[in-house]
Amino acid sequence: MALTLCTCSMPSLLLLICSTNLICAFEMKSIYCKISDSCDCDFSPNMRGLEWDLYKNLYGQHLAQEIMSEAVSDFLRKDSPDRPLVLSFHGASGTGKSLVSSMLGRHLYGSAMGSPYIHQFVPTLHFPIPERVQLYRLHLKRWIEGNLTTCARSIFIFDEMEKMPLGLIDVLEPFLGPSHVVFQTNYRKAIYIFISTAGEEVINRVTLEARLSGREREEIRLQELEEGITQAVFNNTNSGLYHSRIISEKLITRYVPFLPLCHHHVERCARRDLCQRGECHRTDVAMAVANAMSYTPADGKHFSSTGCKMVPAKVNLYL
Amino acid sequence: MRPRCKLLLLWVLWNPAAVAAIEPISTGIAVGMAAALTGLFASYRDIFYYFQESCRPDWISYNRTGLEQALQKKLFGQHVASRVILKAVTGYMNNPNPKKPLVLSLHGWTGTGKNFVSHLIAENLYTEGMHSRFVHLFTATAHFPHEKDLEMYKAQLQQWVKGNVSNCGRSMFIFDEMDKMQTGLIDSIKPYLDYYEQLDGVSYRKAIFILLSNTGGESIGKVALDFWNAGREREEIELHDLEKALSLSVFNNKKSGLWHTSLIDKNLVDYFVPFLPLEYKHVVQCGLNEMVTRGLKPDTNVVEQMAKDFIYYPKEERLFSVPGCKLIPNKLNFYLLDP
Repeated sequence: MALTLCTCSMPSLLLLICSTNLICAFEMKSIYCKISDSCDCDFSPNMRGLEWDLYKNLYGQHLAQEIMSEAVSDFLRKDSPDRPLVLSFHGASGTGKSLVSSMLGRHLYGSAMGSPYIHQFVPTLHFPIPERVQLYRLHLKRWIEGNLTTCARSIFIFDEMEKMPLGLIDVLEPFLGPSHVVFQTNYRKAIYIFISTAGEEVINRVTLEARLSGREREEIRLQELEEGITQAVFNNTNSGLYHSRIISEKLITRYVPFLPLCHHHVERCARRDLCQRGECHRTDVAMAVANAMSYTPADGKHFSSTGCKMVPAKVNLYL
Repeated sequence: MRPRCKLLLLWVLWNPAAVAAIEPISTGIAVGMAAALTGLFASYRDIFYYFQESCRPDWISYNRTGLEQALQKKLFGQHVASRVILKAVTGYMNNPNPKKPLVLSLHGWTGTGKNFVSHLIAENLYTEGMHSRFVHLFTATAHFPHEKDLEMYKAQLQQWVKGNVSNCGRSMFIFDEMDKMQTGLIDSIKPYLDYYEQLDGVSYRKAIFILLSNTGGESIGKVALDFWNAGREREEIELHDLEKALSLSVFNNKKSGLWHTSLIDKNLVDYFVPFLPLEYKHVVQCGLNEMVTRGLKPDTNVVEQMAKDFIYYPKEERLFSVPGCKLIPNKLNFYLLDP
């Protein structure tokens, strides 16, 4: 009689104990994360790896390389920064903006872009209907609050800012400033990245002028571009940040301009793609691909109009 | 629970009828066999996958030689398109880590083989060909007919693509009649065609998107006509001749409101594959091929008679068949029924 009692309830008892243990463990970790500022949540920054990646795989963007390594290392050095890191990437299509944001994600988190603490927002997918902007504001605010509470060191990437419904991004304003701390959770350890093509005319113009006047590309400094970019973004209805307080309150830490790419940059992109396929020696293919891209402006043909975007496809054709 | 457990056990042990049923040896053998078979099937799931199509290399594998031969033997008059398609698909499938999904835009006159080529690609990639669970065909006029339901179509399409790519990364989506599709609808799937590592946890990098349309057919036809007027061979037409003509008339014309322009701005289309209009000799080849497919002895006279009755344009030169190779199966019946 006692034996049957045991046999009936033993497995269920064991199961109960095991599950309680597991639940306890998870609860402990999340509680610890909530009360302690030094939460890991998969965060393993590798600044050297990031700098090496930027140096090796990003072509023709000396400004982006400098600003990124400087801004990110400054930010990570502080255990309790006074404001979150807010970067705004500007440049033409194909110049490497999404590439740099994924490099950042890869070198800050162990599981790269698949990490649950990196959040990417694409307006076409997440905010498709402009009429529902109020609803999206509410959702976005809750999403950001919730994720910052879970992990203070989250990364939020807002791609295609030019397609963002007007007024949506302003809901982030309290989170970007130095004053927003709730329930002792440090909201100021997060990183925000805005990616858009707004301001590309200014950047292209300055780069073209520099090239025509014989200046070295590396001599272009951020100060020449920053004012123009800020104006272009603030006054352009198609930038998502039109008349936004984020710009007027100077909440953006650094503007990162991406310059248009020249013929030799495209050739380097093609050579890298060939090397990845084990065909490093085919420099003729790299040259053919670089020649096959379309260049602007019409007279001079200095810069590739698509950056490095069509390179893998063209390599397939010429190989 | 405990008293019931006890009661059941006691009843089973003492009830004579139940005891007779539970004969220890045969029960033991039966239970043992069942356990062994379950163990076998649980660990050897390949038996299941052998019968049921699934997202594994047994059911999805690229056959380059098959595609090459099919393009050579069954696609007539498209030397530019077959070369580009073969290189594009081979290069993409050989790349173990593509940075974006393969996006092909096939465009040209009606009846020139665009749908046919997408079928050929599917057949040489999926064991089940076009009937595979992972090949999805959307026709604008059939699947998205009403303008007022645009928002609903957008949401549905996004869900459909996302769901199917999460299920199997190597999915193929064919969008027919793109020129008749509403512009907003294309925009809804643009992020999936882009260079993102993953979107909401799903990676679209292994998917294939094929877009078919008639856009640019006139410009392509004009290039072919110019070559003919200059006395040059059709086979001398190269991709860059066609690309140049298209970029002037179609792609740079941002006011034309064509779906192309929104995709070109972001460089999402990997390859623009132009299809040339078909000449008399190609119609004859199509007809002969149709007869062979039906198991008939190829008869050049019958096919030539049928080809002569097709309508050709332009009016004076009468070079290119207006319906391309379409309608041949039905028209052939008419000419075969000769007494």
